[in-house]
Amino acid sequence: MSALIECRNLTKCYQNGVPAVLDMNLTIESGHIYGLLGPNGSGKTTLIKMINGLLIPTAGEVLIEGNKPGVESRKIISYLPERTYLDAQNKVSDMIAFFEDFYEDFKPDRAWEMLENLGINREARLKTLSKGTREKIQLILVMSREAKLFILDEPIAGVDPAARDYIIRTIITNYNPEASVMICTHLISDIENILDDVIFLKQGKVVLKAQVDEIREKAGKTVDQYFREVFAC
Amino acid sequence: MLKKLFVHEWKDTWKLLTILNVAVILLSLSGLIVFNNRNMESVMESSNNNSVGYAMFYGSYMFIYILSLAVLTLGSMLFFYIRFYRNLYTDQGYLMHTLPVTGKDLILSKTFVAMIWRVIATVVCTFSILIVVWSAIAEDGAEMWREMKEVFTQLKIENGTAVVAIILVILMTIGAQLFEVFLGYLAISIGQQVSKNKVLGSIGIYIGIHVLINIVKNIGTQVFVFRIIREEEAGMFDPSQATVILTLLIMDVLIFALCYGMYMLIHHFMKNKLNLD
Repeated sequence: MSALIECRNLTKCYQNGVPAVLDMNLTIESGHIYGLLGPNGSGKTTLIKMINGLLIPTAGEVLIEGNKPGVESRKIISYLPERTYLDAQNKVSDMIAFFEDFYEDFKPDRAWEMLENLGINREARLKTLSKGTREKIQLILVMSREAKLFILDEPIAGVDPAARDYIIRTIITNYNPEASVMICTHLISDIENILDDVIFLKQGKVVLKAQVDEIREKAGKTVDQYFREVFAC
Repeated sequence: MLKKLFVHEWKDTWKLLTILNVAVILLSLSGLIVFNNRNMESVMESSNNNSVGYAMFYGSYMFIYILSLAVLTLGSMLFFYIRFYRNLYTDQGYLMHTLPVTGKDLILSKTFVAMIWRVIATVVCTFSILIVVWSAIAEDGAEMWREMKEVFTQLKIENGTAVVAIILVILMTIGAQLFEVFLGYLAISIGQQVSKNKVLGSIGIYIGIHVLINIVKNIGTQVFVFRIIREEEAGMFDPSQATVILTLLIMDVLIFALCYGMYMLIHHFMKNKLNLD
């Protein structure tokens, strides 16, 4: 297994001086589904943003297949942020065309199929659709790429249980087993069955990186139970 | 990728700006009818009650017309500033900054589209004002045109010099538009470094840079004028066409150098200081 992402002494301090990520060393390998877990303010989203080049590290570096975040890394990372980034003025078909234009690994047929399964009109303007539907469209766009790394920030937050099942099904049926998936969420019990590894973050540092099976065997607990124990208030 | 970004930027902006431009063109053409209607004019000149109504009609027309010019010039600039901010520094930035394109491509694609529309707006406004003014002074227009021709003849501008001067003035106009576009983009980019209320921060920075540049510009102009006066007093002033061309050339170089500097700064903030909330 080769290193897909390497964080070396990665640090990010915001303007108030408090470090969100502190001297972090972390390696993400190909072919795994990672759960990036931690309480609020533990640095999950900050780490994800630095990997995607949306935040500039204060110190240290993050390398994606040996490159700093940039054009090359964006070609292989498919990122779903916790925000809705689609322009509401556009039609669904506009967004498909947009992704097709910019991402060489985008599979429009796959996207159309998933949209049809959900009964979403391809000519509908995004502003006429509900927030939940827009989030699903965003997930479909992200998962319709043949990326090497999928980074999904809170993909199931704020949606009903049925939608959660759909999202999880979409994730596991659309990613290439040679690729990696990094899922950042608080809803551990909903996703722990699909995880290979977990990374626990606390106050900007990695406090645990382990295989899910290892936790179950050694601690005799589910990831959710173990998380509650580690991060008990 | 720059071409693709350009195409998508164009697709997202052309409708509104076409409407604004067409509105100004239609209002200008309607000016031809309003001002060339001699029947209405004669009614206005008479002392009956209709004259008040016609005066109000002309006043309303001029108000709407000037408003349309303001919306086209200031509104379209504001539109591009807001688009730059929304597209790159709000939620949409999560998509734009994760596309496999460079920061320079993002800036240039937006600038090219903004510049095309700025140039179109300048041309439309210029011709529109000419049409409306021409319609309003139609009787005196021919006389005015003769006088203008006479002034140009008296200037004895050589054809070659005139062409160079026109090219330099056109370049300066384009440079001035580019300067305004980059100034807004730069203010927005620096404004992102403000921890709270980035929009207010951007506005403050925009005003600050504007004031600073105007101060420098005024000092430069005064130094230039002072130099001319001194040279004239010393009998060394050369009012030749070559001096005019050289002055225009220096101004063009200065404005494009400033634009390039601002472009590099915008890119620096995007590449090294990006901090999406």
